[in-house]
Amino acid sequence: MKSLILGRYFPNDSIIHRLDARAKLVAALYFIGLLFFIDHGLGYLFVGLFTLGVMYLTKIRLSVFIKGVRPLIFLILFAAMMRVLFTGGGEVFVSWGPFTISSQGLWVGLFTFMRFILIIFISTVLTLSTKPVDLTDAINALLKPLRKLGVPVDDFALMLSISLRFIPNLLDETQRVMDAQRARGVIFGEGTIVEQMKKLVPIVLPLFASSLNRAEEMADVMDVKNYQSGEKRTHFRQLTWHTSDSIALLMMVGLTAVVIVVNYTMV
Amino acid sequence: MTDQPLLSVCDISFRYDITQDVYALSAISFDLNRGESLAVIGDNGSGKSTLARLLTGLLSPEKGAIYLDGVELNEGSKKMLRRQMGIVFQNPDNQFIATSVEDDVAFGLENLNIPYEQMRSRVDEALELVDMYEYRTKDPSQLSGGQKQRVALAGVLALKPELMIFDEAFVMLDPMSRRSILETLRRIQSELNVSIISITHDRDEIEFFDSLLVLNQGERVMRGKPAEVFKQMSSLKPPFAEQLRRDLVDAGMDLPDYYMSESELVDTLCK
Ligand SMILES: Nc1ncnc2c1ncn2[C@@H]1O[C@H](COP(=O)(O)OP(=O)(O)OP(=O)(O)O)[C@@H](O)[C@H]1O
Ligand SMILES: [Mg+2]
Repeated sequence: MKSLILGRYFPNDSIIHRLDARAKLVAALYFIGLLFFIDHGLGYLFVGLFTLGVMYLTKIRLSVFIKGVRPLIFLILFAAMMRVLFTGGGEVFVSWGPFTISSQGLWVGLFTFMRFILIIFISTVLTLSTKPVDLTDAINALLKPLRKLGVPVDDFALMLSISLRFIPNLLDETQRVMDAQRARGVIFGEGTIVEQMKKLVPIVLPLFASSLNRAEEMADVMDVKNYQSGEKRTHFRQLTWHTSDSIALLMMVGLTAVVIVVNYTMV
Repeated sequence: MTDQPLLSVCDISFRYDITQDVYALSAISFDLNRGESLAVIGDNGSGKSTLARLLTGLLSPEKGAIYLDGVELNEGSKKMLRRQMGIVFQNPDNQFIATSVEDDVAFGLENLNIPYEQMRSRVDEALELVDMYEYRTKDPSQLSGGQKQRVALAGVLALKPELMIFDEAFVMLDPMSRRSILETLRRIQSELNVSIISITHDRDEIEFFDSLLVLNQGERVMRGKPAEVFKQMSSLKPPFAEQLRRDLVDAGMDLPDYYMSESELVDTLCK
């Protein structure tokens, strides 16, 4: 669990941390979309440097980001290899049955590789620098227009924030149940796969039961505290938009302009 | 209509399993005036939590009725009546809805559609009262059991309800803070004319309350001022001060033969 970086929050005090969650979410999504329109090495160089700059501004060590990529590296390399082998054009270096390695293919493979890495980096920046609740609020704010269509956006956001709040509880509880089993002589991490799976059953069942019980009690509390689905309610957590947030979005516009210029002039 | 009790419980009975003849509560009646505080005591399984769940409309009585401010509590009136009450349940872990202390205290206020500025001041005020203001940005996994209970308490205080119900809500507090919170509650009770029902096992907590309701296996055993109850029920373990008085009388000291609260006893002894 400890090695999973993507989706974690790293408390820190940086310009990126202080940006509004809505601005960060929109900018990150936009940036990822933009990556798919770049078809020139220079364009990738440019957005790559931009990403490195943003990562630097979070004041989080580079090694943390690298750790985020590590579990996915084989998948990425595989995808890039596929693109290399199945793309023809340009100067052909090796040709073997349906596979070719060509100059065009090498470029496309490199682009694919870059695209994946940058997507992971930028989403890691987003989650490392934004509290999960803030992210939930941002999603809530951005989906607001859907409320007019009768989509229960608020319920969805609350559900998300409650789930996030329960992850540590669930981990604690797993630990407790495992300790209780250990105290009764169960040894985890030994035996065949089937044996190990069997040992998980007495962990999962109590967890399931206690979660259901918990959910029921929480529903009661929400009920007594007058939570009503679809009812108008105020929000204690306020997102505040600063000039820096507008600047962040303007930078996305600037980046788009650069990508367009590079795409059309450097053919 | 000023002498009408705030809460009126009329002959309610309840059982969890209607196929069986085991009642969690049977034929309970009592009134509670505005600004009055009531402690509910009884052994484990005597139906105290069940009573709290009935009062908040989470369960409905099989027989009898509950009136708050003259309005019968039922499916239709439940929502409106709940605006007038706040409850702290027994388990502090499962009462934490939001991701941080202050958000959790604000949760009930958000649902009442209260504007931000007002929420801010009420949340801060409530957190100050339970001494949790410094912890306002912490998340529940960073809090101890007693701290979570304080947060739940603040959640109710911020609502400023007319009726507060506490189901063993102070058990995890250390004795000093328990005293200070009970004193705060008593102050709020008289200042804002709030009614309080507190379910408790702590005999020493009792002297903070105007009257006492004793339950046993779902039945009402007694209702009265602590003095009366402890005089009539010699089997009931009394609070420390009363126990001390009885022991002193047994040891031959010349003390009046009636129930005394701690401060009364101290005054008498110091004379
Ligand atoms: N959800 C439930 N389903 C079935 N029976 C229940 C349920 N909750 C409580 N009971 C039963 O109802 C009776 C009263 O329970 P209740 O929780 O009201 O007791 P209590 O006075 O609050 O006890 P404690 O001091 O332990 O909190 C008990 O006999 C209990 O077994
Ligand atoms: Mg109980």
